[in-house]
Amino acid sequence: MTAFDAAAGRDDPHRLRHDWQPPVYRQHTLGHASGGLVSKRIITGFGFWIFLLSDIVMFSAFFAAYAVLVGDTAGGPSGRELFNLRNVGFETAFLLLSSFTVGIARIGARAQSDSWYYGAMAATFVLGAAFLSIELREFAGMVARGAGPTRSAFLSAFFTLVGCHGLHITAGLLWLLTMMAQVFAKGYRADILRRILCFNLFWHALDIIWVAIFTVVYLMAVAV
Amino acid sequence: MSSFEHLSDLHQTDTAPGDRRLARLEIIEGIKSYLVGLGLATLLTFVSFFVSGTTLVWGPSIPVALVVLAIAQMGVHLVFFLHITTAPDSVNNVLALAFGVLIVFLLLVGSLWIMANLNHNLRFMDESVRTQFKRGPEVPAVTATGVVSPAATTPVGTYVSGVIQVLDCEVNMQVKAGQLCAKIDLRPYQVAVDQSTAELKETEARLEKDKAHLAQAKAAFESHTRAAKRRVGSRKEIDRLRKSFERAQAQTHRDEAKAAQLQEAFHAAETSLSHTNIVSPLDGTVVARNVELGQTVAASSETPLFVIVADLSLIAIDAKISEKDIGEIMVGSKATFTVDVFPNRQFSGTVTQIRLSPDEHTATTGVVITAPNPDLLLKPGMAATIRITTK
Repeated sequence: MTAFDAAAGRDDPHRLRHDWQPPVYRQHTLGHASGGLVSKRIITGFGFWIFLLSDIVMFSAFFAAYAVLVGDTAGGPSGRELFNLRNVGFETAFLLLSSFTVGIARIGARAQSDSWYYGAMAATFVLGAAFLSIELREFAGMVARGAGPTRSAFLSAFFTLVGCHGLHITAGLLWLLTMMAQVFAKGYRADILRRILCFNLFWHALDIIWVAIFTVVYLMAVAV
Repeated sequence: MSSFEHLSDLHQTDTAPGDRRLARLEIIEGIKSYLVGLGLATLLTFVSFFVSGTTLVWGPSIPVALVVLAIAQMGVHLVFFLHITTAPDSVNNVLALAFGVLIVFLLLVGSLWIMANLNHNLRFMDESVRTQFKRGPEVPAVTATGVVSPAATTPVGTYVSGVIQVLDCEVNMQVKAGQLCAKIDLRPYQVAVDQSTAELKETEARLEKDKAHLAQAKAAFESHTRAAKRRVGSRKEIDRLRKSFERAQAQTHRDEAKAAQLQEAFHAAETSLSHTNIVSPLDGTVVARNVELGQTVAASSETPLFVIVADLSLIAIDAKISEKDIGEIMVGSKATFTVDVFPNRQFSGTVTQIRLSPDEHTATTGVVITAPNPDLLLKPGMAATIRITTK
């Protein structure tokens, strides 16, 4: 039972049916849009959106640290010497395509089309895993060259920022597999669809952060 | 949508409102939106990668262009992928996004601004202060001041007294062993030598005469002694001749002794004469001169006329250490020091002596620090600021 339901003093329809919730009336705390019905989907989306924004604020702290420390190479290699733009191009392409396929997957789920949903989710997984493998190979290569996170303040900031994004991608891939399994086990139920929505938002947000990373970390290192 | 319709939805579509199964048209619309987003994002990504490597535009504008392109691409993602729109459903999402963007902006701009300011200030800090920052963990140490002096000096004095007539050596002059540094008026000593020579000559002449006399007396005495054996000549005459012979012998001995004595006096006078030349006993540098031209110097004076240093490759610093710190310093303690002339250069040495007679007035104890001076940068008299490491 959600807080909203409890506040309205309603029975929880989940106990009886999982696939339907009564409309929740807009609460005062939810802003000033014109009155009317707000579905649980929108409330869930809003909550998850708040989480994503806080995650983005955390990333911005890492970005600030990176921008401050980017010149402090302590005599070690700089980004210009380390980064391979071809790899970054592939990473960007994979992540952008995966953002597209995850959107297709959501449409497939809402249309309750197994082939679209599973196919698009599998494509998303393959693209995400490809991204991750390129990134891990880049990290391993840098560490092998003696340019690990302990080499300089610049590299510490680099590994923290890009590594944190990589961890998010890893978590996203696990979540993706979970969502495929949930749809397989429980079908296209409303709550499952809401989770797919959240996963969608999460994956798109990671792509937005990647746009910032490939611009600030990789392209600027090569350009400046 | 009324609640009645919901109830009917229940049976027909098995989904909640807003999540009802999509119609074909909606699917096409959705895919179209994603395709537009994908196309725009791809285009912007290509432009970003192209701009980063191009030389076609003015260099400093590239980062600005990259940031603008990135923001544009984020906008594309927000609208076409995340569907953050101006629709009434999205108002709260947009408000949250605006707040998030504000926080991100404050964080980034604030950090960069503050850190850029700090870096700017650091760049203007004194180089020596910076090196202090870079120094590792703080080492316990005692600081003191002292004066650089040569580690070993040779004082040059005089054996004879007199007036300085010639002065050749100046401070900081390089001298060779045997080089004349000063000359004392030699006339008194020359007179003494002359006098002694005259006396010696006179005595030697007398000695010659004595020897001739002795030989004569001896011959006379011996001839009379032989005659007496043949009973010729009187006893009295023999006694007289013996006495005469003995007197001549004694006189010769006396004059011989006198001659030897005068010989010695002559040597002494000659030595004194030679000592009127003050010469350097070794190769080195004159570091002090305590005498002026025309000054009367006395052989008994304790002040050396000159101080000569064999070499300055080893220097000593006399430092005054406060008595409260002296317990922490040992012979062998490492010391570093700087001199005012070379403020950025650090020299190092070792404590080689701790004097056992503290100065009661200043409550300090003298400590000698010996340090190598391979480049001869350190000169006697330089004031040194010393830091002695304590265990």
